[in-house]
Amino acid sequence: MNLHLNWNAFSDSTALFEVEISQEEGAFAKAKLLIDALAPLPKIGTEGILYIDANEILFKGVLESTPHKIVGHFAEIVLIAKPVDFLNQLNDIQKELRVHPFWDPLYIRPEKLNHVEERQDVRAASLYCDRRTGKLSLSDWFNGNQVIDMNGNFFEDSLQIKTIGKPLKACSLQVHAHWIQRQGGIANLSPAIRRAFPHYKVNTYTKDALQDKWPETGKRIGRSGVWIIKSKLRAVNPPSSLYPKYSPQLPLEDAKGLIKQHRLRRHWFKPTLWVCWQAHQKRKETITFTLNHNSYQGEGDHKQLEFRLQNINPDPKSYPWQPATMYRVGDKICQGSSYYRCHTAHTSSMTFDEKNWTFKKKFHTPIGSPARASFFLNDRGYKAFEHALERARVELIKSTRTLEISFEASWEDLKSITTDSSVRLKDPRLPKGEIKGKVVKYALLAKGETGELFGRVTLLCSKAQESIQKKATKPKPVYVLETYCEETYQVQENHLSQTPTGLQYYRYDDQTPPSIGQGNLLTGLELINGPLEQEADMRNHRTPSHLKKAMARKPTRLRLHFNDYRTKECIEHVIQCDVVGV
Amino acid sequence: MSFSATSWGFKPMRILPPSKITDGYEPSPPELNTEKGVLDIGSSSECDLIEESKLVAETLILRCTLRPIPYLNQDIKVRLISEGNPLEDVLLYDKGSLTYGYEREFEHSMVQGIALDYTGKGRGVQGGEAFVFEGADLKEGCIRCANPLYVKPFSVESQSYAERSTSLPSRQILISPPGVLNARILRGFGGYYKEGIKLEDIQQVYYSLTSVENKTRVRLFSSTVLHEQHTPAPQGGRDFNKQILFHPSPERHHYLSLSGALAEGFCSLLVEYEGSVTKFTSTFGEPIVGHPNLIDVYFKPI
Repeated sequence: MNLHLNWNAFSDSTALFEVEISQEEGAFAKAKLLIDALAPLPKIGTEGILYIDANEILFKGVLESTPHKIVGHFAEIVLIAKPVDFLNQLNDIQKELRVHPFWDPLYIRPEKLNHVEERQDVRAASLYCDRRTGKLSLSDWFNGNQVIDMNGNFFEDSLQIKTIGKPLKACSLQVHAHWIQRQGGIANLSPAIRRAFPHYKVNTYTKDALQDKWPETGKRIGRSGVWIIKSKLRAVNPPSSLYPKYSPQLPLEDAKGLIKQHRLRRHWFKPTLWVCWQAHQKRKETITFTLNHNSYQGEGDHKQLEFRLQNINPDPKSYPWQPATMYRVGDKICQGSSYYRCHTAHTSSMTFDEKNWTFKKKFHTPIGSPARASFFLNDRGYKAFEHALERARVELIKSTRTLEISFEASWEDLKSITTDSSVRLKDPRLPKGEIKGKVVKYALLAKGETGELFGRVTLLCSKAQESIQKKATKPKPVYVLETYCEETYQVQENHLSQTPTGLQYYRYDDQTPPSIGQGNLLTGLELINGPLEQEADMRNHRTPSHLKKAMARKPTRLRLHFNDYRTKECIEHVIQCDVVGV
Repeated sequence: MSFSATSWGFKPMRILPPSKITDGYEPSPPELNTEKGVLDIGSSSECDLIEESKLVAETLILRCTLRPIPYLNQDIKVRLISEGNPLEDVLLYDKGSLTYGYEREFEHSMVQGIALDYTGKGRGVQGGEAFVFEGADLKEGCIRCANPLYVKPFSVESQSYAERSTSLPSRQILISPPGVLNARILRGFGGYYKEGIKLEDIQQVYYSLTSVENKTRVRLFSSTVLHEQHTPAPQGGRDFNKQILFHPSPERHHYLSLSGALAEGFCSLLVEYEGSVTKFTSTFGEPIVGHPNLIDVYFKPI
């Protein structure tokens, strides 16, 4: 066997005195070469190819640096099997890797989302770069693409068997989503106000009581999140005699003691009162589950992992459209799930009018509507949960590789070994006399001085192979009867779902969060001293002055009670999901 | 030189760095709503107390046409029975039955009533401000009145009548009915109306019976004459040696002239406003110059 090194830059090959080719799982292969110290070296980064005999490529890599050390007539150089088109290959492979359920951008910081040189997916596989071809691919942790059947062809005394740690019996995950829930709306309260009065029209015997204190447009109702956007109280002269202008007759004594009939003027109004409300609430939703490794119950640890998702309700810089607001040209708003830019200065009315705006683009947020009270209950939330399941699964799988086996064998038997290889060994010292393991580390050594040619390999094996458990249950509808509504709206108990990798879990649609501000904006409307009460009271007085004083003490008042939109420190909601183990 | 035993453990160059669990998102506190929303609308306020009499017009002036209602019952006969001898009866409402002493035109004295028909036009004063109106709708409220607005009634003879005159041994003369001595009995004949006359001249005319050449004769008396001789209705009086008596005693709205009846509020109407009804009564009648059959009737609320 003849090993020689050819550089792309030179026509002559470089003589080699010692070769050590090594690789670890998830790393590039390296070739450490001992050459003549006086041999010319190309520039750093030049590709060199290590051949066996005439044309069998053993290694292809680039010169990493100037010689590491020079001792006597020899110099040590290192080649790295990193292909020149590594980034292109990586880019292509990352595109394939970043798919549901193995990848979820909510688990990655936004500024790193476009980093190609960062592994963001979660799989039971490592990146593998072939030392001979430079091809980048994924290599499964348990089954390499190449299976080398060594049987007993290894140096018997080199066999080492070691147990490293214990497989996890379970992995529990908590995934938290934090966001600001934004709710809001507008309401016309005029009809409700009218309904509070007799004759369904605002009327009173104390005119200024309402008119003086009718709220002005723009007024904020304390720090309740409610404010007035349109307001007016217009005095009207009802056209019909159904709406009396005066009270019933009131016999009152004048100064001379004469009884004279009097009446109180009844004032009628047309009310306009529109309000806008907005409630921002900090929310934290946690989904928690435990994935058991049923093959290893009673052994190992129970791993706990915790993740906090990225912003599921991004877009803090855009402003939601608001009614009764002055907009200038160039103002940007979001309405529904679209961005708009104002092209005509205007004051908005009560409803969004697209004619003043230029549509810019659509946007999607993981939460969907910013008013939603739950994230994990929507489709995107289920995807984030399924990704978390994958993370737990990978943790369990990784922990099962607890048997480390090392051995040495001849160069000839191992010259094709890579970290994308599985090796089958037979030996009475092995569990059950035979094992198949995945190569996680190897080295091929050729020593010119001694003529030694051999390989050294480390395998990782698991005692039991992964098997995904399956259950079959019949879901039970709990929202309405089975045929009553479309399936989309139904909520079911014992409803099993399955991730794309086959993991099963019970859907948790029924675990709804506490909501805020449910129901109508206006929760109560009190009419105090309405015209009928005033009429009842006005008959009890004998003189005009007494009557006037009494009415001054009994002005008509309206009290409107709004829904409770007070911000709580944080509304927390925990979803417990049951998962079928692996 | 050869590779040392450490070569097995040289630091590998990882294809990609190990991924780390990154911190997630923690939002900053949102805009706080700290209060429950309650909107109070209302403040102390005075009320508008109004005397009811000031709610409606202070004066209403309705333009009316005067329409005489002639008495058409021409067959009424009267007879005087003198000392037990019935004289020849005569038709009361026949010019041939009259005797001397009546200056007025006989043919204008047979009116049983004067109707005031509202023309649909009027004026008013409310809060010191004059206003005009048409029909029944006023500035505040509306008029409820009959049509005709008012009929000024006059007393007429509705059936044939006989009067007995008997000399007593005491030389006194008993007149019956009503059974009085030495009296002239006056009975309602009708009203006097002629286009263009003054309103106070639209008045009651009376008659009494007398005998001329053994025939019953009718003598008419205007209210003006009776007044001048101090024997006005209803109390009558003494004229020379005779007592003037009205039988039956006339009612007030009969013996008052049209202007008197209007001044006394015999003409009335109702104004309905805001569920209450105010009665207005006439205070005055004013003829319209150039329009002999039109008058303005003034009303005030009571």
